Amino acid sequence: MWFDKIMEDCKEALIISKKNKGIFIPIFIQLGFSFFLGILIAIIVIVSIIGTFRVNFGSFNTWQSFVSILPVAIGFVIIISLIAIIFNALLEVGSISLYKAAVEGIKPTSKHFFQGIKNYFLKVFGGSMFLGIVGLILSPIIFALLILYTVIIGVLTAGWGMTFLSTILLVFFLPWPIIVVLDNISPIKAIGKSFVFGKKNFLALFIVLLAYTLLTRYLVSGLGIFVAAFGGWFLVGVLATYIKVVVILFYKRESETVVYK
Amino acid sequence: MEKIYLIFDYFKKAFHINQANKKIYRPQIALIIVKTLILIVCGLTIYSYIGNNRFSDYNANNWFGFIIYSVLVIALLLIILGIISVLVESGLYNMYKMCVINNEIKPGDFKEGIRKYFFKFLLGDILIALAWIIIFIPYIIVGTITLTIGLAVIPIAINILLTMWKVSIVINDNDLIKAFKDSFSFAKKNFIPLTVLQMIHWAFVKGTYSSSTGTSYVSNAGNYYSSFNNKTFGTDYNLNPPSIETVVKTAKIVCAILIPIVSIANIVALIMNMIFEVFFTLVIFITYIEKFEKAEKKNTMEVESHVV
Repeated sequence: MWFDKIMEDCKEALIISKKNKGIFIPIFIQLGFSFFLGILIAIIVIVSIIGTFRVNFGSFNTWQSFVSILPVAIGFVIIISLIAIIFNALLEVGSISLYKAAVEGIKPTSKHFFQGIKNYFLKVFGGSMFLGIVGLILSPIIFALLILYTVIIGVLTAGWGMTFLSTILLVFFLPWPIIVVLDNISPIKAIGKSFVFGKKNFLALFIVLLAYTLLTRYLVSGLGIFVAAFGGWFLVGVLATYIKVVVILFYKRESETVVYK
Repeated sequence: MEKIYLIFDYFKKAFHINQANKKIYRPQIALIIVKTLILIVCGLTIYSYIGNNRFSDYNANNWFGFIIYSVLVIALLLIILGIISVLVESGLYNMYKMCVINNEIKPGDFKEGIRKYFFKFLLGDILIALAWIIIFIPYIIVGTITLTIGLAVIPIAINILLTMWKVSIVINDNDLIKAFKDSFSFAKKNFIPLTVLQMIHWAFVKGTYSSSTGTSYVSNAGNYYSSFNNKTFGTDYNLNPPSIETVVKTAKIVCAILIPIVSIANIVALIMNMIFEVFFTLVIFITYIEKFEKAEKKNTMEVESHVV
């Protein structure tokens, strides 16, 4: 039965995680990058504000003056987003290669991490860009639907509708980079296969990813402000790593039944 | 760590027991209906109260009496709801026991549970509430000194220590003191796996009442509405202040809109809470019976005891 299978994989993932502590190293790389990106954004924002005010101080009272800095602001957001996508893709493929090695009973090392980046970075980066561009094009529709969904379903389901929506998105979109690394296929094919995998094993993936979503929320908000501020990143990172190992194990178990043409 | 692996086996068992015994939801559904009816009645009372003569009679001289009256009514309602909840819980716990031990529920199990465990559960809950009142000030002090870590960790630790007292009463027919001792000793022996299990449990159950619940959505909507009203009728736009009739009319409309929305959101939240609570209580029963011991180890111990 589906519940027994996913519970077996959860147990197996815990055993693997305990044996291979190295799979958690990318959490610290992620923290370092977030720290770096945060400082970079802060410096750029402060420098631009000071620069703009030194040049145009006093004339910043009309909407035209704000419109004039809009292209620079949009350009800035695009560059930062691009850096974030590149780094996340690098970290994602490197990490999944580490998890793959651990699942296959090989001791994960930095060699696996860099080999993963070398082999799959372009595919996952391409896939992320594709999804990002599609999301950007459809953003007005998505935004309108999201507002409608939040107002109607979100309120009437006491917030569960929002939690379920984010979990459903995870069910269909979380596995595709894993599929790229495990099956070495193109990102478009992996996204398609990810949908088939999500659809065929919806309940199992939904339960486990709902647990992940709720636990992440609880660990960050339920353990106090201090733990959330200083240890939240680590707890969330450990959970994210663990859940990806679970999805890898489950995909390996079910991969033969996932057919995408 | 090996004890933590067993949690997933208990999840599997609880899932199958849950699947085979759907009747276990009946008392909770009845409780949801009662809670919703109380909510609707309260809403309708407020609705009919707004704008009538008794309401407009309240002024600065007797507002204190009005507040006292409202607080007493709310307190009485909460006490009644609390007693009904303990009543349902005591019946339910007997049903859980039957599910886990016999894998079936008989028609009289719920009533039997109320008869056997209601007063013990009620007394235990009152004692815990009193203990919280006594330790409240030290708790706040410790919580503040430890930079809010204590505020979160102390209730978690206490709740983990108290996880098994009701189960101990139901399974072993223990008295209250023995049940508390049993719960403490179980938690001390299995603190880490029990903490992991309870963290998962609370993540699901408290997710219902977290910051993203419908209640907050509704109150946000209310805030938005009131800020809209402030902008529309307030001094920002240099309009005249609204008349009493306008305020009453607006309050009635808001109330009429909120009653069905809050009722539906409340039903959904309670149903979600019920599903997860039933599942995790079954897991806790199984955990108490299996005591985080591996099946092979338990079998060996049983064989050894037979030999002796």
